[in-house]
Amino acid sequence: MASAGIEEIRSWILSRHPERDDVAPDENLIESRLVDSLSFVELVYAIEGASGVEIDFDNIDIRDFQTLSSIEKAFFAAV
Amino acid sequence: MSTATTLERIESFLPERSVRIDDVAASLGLRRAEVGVFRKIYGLDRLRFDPGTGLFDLVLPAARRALAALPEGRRVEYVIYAHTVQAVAPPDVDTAATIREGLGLHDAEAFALTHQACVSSLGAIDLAGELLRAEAPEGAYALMVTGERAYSPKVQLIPNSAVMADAAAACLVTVGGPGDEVLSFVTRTLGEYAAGLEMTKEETQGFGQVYGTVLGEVINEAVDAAGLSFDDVDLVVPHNVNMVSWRQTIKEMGADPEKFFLDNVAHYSHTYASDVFVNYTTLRDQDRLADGRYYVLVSVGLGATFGAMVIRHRKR
Repeated sequence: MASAGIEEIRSWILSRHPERDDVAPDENLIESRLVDSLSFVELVYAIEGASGVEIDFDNIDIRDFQTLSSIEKAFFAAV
Repeated sequence: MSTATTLERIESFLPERSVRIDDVAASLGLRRAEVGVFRKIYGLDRLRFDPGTGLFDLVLPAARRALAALPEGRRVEYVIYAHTVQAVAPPDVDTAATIREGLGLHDAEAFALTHQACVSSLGAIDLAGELLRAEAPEGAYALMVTGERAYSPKVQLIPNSAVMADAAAACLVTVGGPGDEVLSFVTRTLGEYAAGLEMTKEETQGFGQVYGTVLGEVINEAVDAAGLSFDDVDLVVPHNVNMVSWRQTIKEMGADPEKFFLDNVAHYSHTYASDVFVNYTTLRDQDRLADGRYYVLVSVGLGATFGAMVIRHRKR
């Protein structure tokens, strides 16, 4: 079952894309432009807000942000 | 004689001083998450940034080296200084004329171009060719010069996009010469994003949404206008804004990522209108430009202009 945190991220993405009903867990957020190059910082803050933890940038890379599944694994798995 | 615009010599110059983006974060007011995103997501790392280098110290070395390729007895008719930021010097300084004098080209006509922002340098090459064909004596040359300093945080940071760096470049242009042949040049300007750095949040979001699609279309239009298909192109010689904008563009085009030379994004960051020429010289110096092969020089200017120029490289 998806964590509450990742549901918050899904809602954040959908709030920016009213044309969408849902985001599949494995949909590539960058390539599908659900997260564009100008909104990445906001995504980071949305993840930090939902997880309550500051992201350690020394230990992540772009693949951790590619899909809702990878975001959940990287930032919400232990929550 | 061919009437195509030809690029006879391209040179670039980078100040020695190299810093990490973390080193400029404080002066740019970047928050921790922004630095992290720039570094790990956008692929930025180092940049050349030397506040001790004056504008003309930055601009003139590459211009002098490009000018050295001028054949004996030939004359430079135009010196065109292409820059992104409109105010690069105090208002009493005529930058183009100062560059002309610094190069000893006292009889050349000197002027600046800026309104296509970072695409202004490609636009200046196109214009140089038009002027040479229209009114210059046969065999005349033009010198296109770029280079501007990230002299203030206001012009060094494009929020959520790029950290600007110091560099300069120059391109010696003629018509029908033995150099790289310009086969096409396509631009598209989206005036709804004219506010540039002053765009509203909605405009910024809209620009981000269309960016990859429009840039991919402009590249393909330029390739088509050159009578080629994208398969014929060896490499895209791109701007260094960030990796994410290219990832989205490459995806939109359904193109092979290996065809985009992105190594310098991490080394030099975005150097205003100089990127494509800095990248061209890196590729040439690594012997990665092949004789007779096709390359696309690509830039995007805030405001917003998308530009692509297809060239056929000729070794000489």
